[in-house]
Amino acid sequence: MLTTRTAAPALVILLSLAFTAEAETISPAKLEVNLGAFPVDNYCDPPNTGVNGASCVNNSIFPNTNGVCTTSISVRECVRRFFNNNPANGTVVAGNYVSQGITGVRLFFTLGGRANSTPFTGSNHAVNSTWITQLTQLFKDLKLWGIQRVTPLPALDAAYGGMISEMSANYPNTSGCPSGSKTLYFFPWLPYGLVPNGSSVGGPDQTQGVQAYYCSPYTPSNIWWGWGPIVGTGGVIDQVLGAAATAGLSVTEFEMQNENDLENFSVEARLIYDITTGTDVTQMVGQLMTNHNFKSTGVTLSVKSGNACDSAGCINDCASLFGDSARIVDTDQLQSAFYGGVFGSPPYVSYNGTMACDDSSSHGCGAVGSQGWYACATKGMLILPGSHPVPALTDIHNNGCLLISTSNPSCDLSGSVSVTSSQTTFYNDVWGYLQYRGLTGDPILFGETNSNQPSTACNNDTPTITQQNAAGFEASTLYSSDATNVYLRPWNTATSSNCVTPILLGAPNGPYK
Amino acid sequence: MTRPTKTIIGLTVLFISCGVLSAQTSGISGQVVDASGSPVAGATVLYSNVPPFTRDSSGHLVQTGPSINSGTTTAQDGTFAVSGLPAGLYYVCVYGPQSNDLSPCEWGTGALNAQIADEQIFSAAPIAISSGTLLIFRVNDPNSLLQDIAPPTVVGGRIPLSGGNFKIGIMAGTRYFRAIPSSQQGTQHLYTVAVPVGASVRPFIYSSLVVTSLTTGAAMATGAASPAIIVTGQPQQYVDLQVQ
Repeated sequence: MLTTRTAAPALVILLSLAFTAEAETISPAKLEVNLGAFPVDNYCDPPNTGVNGASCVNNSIFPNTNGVCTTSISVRECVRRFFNNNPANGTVVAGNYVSQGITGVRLFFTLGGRANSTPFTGSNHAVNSTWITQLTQLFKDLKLWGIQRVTPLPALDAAYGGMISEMSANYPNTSGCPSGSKTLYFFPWLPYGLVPNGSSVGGPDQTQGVQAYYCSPYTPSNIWWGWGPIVGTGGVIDQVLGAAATAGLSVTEFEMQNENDLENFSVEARLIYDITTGTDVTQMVGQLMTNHNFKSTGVTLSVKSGNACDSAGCINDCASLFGDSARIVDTDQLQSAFYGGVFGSPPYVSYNGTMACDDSSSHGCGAVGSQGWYACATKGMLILPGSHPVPALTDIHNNGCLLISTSNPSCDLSGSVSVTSSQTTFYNDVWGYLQYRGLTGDPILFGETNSNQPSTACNNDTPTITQQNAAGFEASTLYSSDATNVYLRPWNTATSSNCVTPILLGAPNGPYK
Repeated sequence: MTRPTKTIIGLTVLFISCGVLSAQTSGISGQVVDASGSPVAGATVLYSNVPPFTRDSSGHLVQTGPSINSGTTTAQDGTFAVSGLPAGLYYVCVYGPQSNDLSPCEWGTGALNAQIADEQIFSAAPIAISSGTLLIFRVNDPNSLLQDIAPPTVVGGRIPLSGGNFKIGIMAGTRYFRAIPSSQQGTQHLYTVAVPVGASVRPFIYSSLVVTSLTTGAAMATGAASPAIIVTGQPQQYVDLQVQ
């Protein structure tokens, strides 16, 4: 049961006595785990040091492991204990992720040094060889420990990206855009700015609403690196994919950005086709996937799902402009943008919870599909030039909560109303979408979902909601019809004190068992 | 559509002025006029707010307030009024009823920024829309090969998100406008897009078909912008192409 290749603390030994063999998960769906922003700089073993002399000792990098990791063991050893289920490969602890039936890992790599990840060197923006060596080692280790797939994604716009500059930038000299300038936060790898939110960083700029794709200030040239260091040959994504290939891990999905929201932030479409430089970004990443023998159609951006609410006046479901459920309108928005169709905020929306219900017919557009309806119902929305590689997979982030009310988009964590029925509706809607859009047989990933974490501060949910989410999935037509193509990835931030790592998700008696 | 005369604007301007007036509920009012200042009836007025977002401890964006996307239509005197809106910043865009009308949100100085306070009506200055030339692409398709990408049709209650092999539009600077499929006459497909008179625009074709200019006989670029077309002052201007 337990090897002593490295010394294990007493608690780990105790836990190991309860070690259970690898078991099936919510079969035949696949269970994966999120790790959040991963500390690549520290992924090493003493007496070595990591990137730019970073310590290899855990200290409190993984602060809430239920005794699995002490502060004195190495970061690499700690991660081993999260996953390893084979005594031949070192310490095995009870409840490790592989024993739970988890077969895939999603992790962020930050780009500017925060969250202990510094992939670039100096002024030429080359990839740091130590960083990529350590990431390769992580991938090799995950493979050795029993993980089959990895979903790495760059933290392009998150507050922990590092190397951010607050400055004033002019609006583009583009028709329909205002004159003057705006103060925003800019990253050197992101072709748009983020709005200040007090002393921190808020969301993408929304200058001129739906017109932000064109009108939001471009990242100033003295900040912007160009796409080369990110998506060019030899750039960081190229090398990350190379690391996965070297390790023998599959990359079913390469997620270019987390939780794309084209309805509220049309400027994020610059990550599909960057109008500021004329760059087909996802096509370039697709080529990198091909170069490493992964599918080019695995490049996408994840989206969030909409939630219903549980107070008076709430409805459980409605149709969006696109005709699918408004629970998945961001999925339609993304698909349409790739395809060359309309995206951005529709002109006529009736919001219910965070569902954007189509309200065109009550504003004089006529019945859906009638003569003139399309032009009326999509007025003002944007269309990208050309058409772009449409992903052959779908990644929806779903926190299966019910919102407090139509005007309060906070999750109701009281437990007063079960989310099971609402979640069954959601998964049924997804199955309907896949069927109608010809995507059955392709992967459908719930790239972030309910966490089973005891603290609501980890994922804004509860173990009860997690159980109900899983029950809702099992009762759905998606589960009964297409479960083999479903990937569930409960959220976790392994470096956060709010989240326990490892947490029980799958076998023997987790919510996604 | 008939547009009212200037005498109407003379009356309406009495209560239209820049600034914010007290009212029982918050909202926006204004008037849409044409380039000569005449009111435009039947114009579409769209307004949307800037919903608030914050980031949680993991960096995820979390919406903390409601979104509002809606619209109205101008009356015969070109006026519009919307009430019952929560306070906040709204972007207002207007679109004329004619196919060659140009919206200031796409061709002018941008959306009207209406910052609405509680219990106040934001009274906008007249918003002008202009008339342009209707650029018409006539695409001959003798072998019936052409299928539109993102056709403006609805099938089974849904907007299509796949299929097709042809899409045409223009680049005006860095801005793209799609030419909308408007009709088919025999083997000829018509696509229209309104552009300002005198503008220099570059056709942008995306197609797996070979596209040829019937004027020059030269192959057109696909997936990239073609050489510029200068838009004349005619109400309509044609560009003749063939696919094979």
